[in-house]
Amino acid sequence: MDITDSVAISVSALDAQRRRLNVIASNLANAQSTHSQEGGPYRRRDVVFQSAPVASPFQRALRVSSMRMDGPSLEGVKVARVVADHKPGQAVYDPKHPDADAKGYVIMPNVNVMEEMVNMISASRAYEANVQAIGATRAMWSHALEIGRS
Amino acid sequence: MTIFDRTIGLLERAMDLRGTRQRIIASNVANEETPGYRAKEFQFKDALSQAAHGGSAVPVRVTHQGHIMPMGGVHALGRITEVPAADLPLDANSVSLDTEMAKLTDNAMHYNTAATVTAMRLRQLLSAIRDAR
Repeated sequence: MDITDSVAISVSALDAQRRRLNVIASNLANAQSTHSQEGGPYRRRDVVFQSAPVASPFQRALRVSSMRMDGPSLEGVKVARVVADHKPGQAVYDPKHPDADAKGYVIMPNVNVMEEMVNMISASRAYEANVQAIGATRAMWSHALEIGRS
Repeated sequence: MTIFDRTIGLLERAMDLRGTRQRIIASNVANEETPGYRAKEFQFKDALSQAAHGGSAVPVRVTHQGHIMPMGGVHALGRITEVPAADLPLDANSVSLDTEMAKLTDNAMHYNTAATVTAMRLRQLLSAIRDAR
């Protein structure tokens, strides 16, 4: 069914943007972490979005007979992977810090708080846009249901 | 003479095509930040005008006396085209969120109009049937 598909597509984007917000939150939380599990300072992470079909193979098989269009297929979005950013972090002179090197410099995480805030706004706007899309689809659906009412 | 004239069929087709377009717009909005994604556009003017003139996108033939010719055909076929990335930004994604949101509203409004008109049309028929009693 067409309309449920558009909701599924928008939901895939809500999911992807929420994951992106999680990553941003992690970056902001660790903006000062000079220790990490991999050793060394925390490295900022980023998500890679990838377009992906939303329907299961079963659904697709069912729909083949009723396909009403040609051309490229429609896709939702998913987070393909989370990648670490390898740009170097800033070195801060702080000889008393336990993570300071022989010369007294501490390598800070490569998180730029400004950049993360901008990404955060971008992610929440994208989230809102998809919520709007679901709202519009919902309104269409309820109008269609009105047809049967006398 | 039929109860369901061409108007109902045309409205149905319009809603069908608008529903598909909604899906395509949702896909564009969802992929607003996917690197390399190309915005998609759904062309259905031809399909709709064909419906308005009673033509069928899929040719139908009567080969048996029991066959019924469909009223204006049931297969509305649109065409999906890709919008090229005009100025090739860094991630070469051709989705413009403002355009997509405007299209989303426009499409939903058209769909809702078609749905409302269909409901009105059916109510007209219903009152005609009831008054005849």
